[in-house]
Amino acid sequence: MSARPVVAAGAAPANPARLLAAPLAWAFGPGDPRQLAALRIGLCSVLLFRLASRSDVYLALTEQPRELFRPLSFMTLFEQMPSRSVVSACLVVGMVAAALAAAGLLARVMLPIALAAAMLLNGMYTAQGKVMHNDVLLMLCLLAIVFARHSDVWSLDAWLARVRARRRGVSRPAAAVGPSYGWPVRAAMLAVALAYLIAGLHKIVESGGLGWASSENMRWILYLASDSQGHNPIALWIADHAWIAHLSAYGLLAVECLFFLVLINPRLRWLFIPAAVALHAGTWLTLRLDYSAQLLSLVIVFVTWPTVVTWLDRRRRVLTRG
Amino acid sequence: MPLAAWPARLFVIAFTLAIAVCGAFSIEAWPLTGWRLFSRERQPISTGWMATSVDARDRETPIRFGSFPRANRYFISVMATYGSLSRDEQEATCQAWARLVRGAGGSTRGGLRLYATTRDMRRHVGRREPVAATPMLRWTCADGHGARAAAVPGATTRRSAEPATARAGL
Repeated sequence: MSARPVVAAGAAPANPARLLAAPLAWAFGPGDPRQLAALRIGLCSVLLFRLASRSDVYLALTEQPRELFRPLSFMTLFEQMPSRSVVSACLVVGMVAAALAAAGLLARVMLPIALAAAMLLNGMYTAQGKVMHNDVLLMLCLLAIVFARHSDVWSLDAWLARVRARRRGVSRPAAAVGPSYGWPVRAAMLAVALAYLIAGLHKIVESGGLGWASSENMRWILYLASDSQGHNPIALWIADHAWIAHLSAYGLLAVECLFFLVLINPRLRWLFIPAAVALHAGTWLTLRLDYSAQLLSLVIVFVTWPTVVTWLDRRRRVLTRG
Repeated sequence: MPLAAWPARLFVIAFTLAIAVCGAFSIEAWPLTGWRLFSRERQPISTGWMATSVDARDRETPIRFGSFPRANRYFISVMATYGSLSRDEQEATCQAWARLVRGAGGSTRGGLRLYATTRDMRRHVGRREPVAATPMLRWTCADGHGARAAAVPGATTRRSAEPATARAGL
């Protein structure tokens, strides 16, 4: 008798290379240069906004006594917070570079400079004894695109290149869909999806199941948060209604653990992106924790911007004709 | 279908693996992080920390870290690892807090006292007011004798903890 495994008639034998083909094609396949450019514009704009709106925070950190400095990661290279002049220079350089990268002027140089400045400034922010997650996803998404050809379209660099080519009498074709533009966007998507999945799985693992949502955990979090703020009526109202607290805990856990499904079925973006936005809005309203940078990064990465632009363009033309 | 060049593929694989490994093993190599956001399940008894400054007449005043400049507000986070510091480091940390207290017009002639606190959050259900914490003295410092652990572990002093200590568990 033959020892060969029984394979159903017509079924293809399992082939690891074949199993990997679909995810590899997704991750490394062609992409639209406009989507990558949209990520550059959006993420750099958020970075510029964060640096500008929190410049007082970064400057205040320079006044921290040396004894209270609690560095993490690369900040252990420092013995105390960098001086005010270093931070001021970092802020100016970071904001100018972020603005130029968003506009697409010398963007391949400006984006790494903006990212390096933001790394140092946010590294300082997380050297206070507490891991700060507020801007981590923005940093990771910028890191995903920093080496990419993000300014081939929708940039001053591309416009200047066209102008120069026209002067020389050379025709310069616009960048088209290609493999150079897909992977940075997918890397940013993976970073976002992994961040939510890992955060959700930690909750499940640490409570040994669904205890994080089924116990009174969320109520205690909300009561503590309200007390720490003096008084938060929204947090107290949810905490006082056990079923609402449980529902929000299950909802949060579901969003975090299942968010990665948007990578498999893009239609689920219509469900999970509003849900994630609601999650962060709820976190702000109840815990007063500012995850706006994460929320904006998520929207920028997962919205299909060329489709939005095409739709807006069509609307504009209809209105003009009307 | 044309795929991205090898360097790009290697970058994406390394980037994704780094995020996944740091997340799975809770490695804090910022901006790579363990993503432990409120992951610990809270129990009805919440633990935290509070500190008081002691004046020349041995009167204690709770220190309101929230009123300090932004870089010096994370008392609770610093206390999370305070026990693992050397005695000199503990004293230096306390001296830094004492300077901040004096800068805000407080007196630290009698040093600082650091308390571990507990609160029974069940008492909060249906109530608007914060639940008072029960403090237990853990360290005395910045009084000219160096930082030292409380001599009697059971020595407790009942007083109302400042609301900011509620952030202990967050």
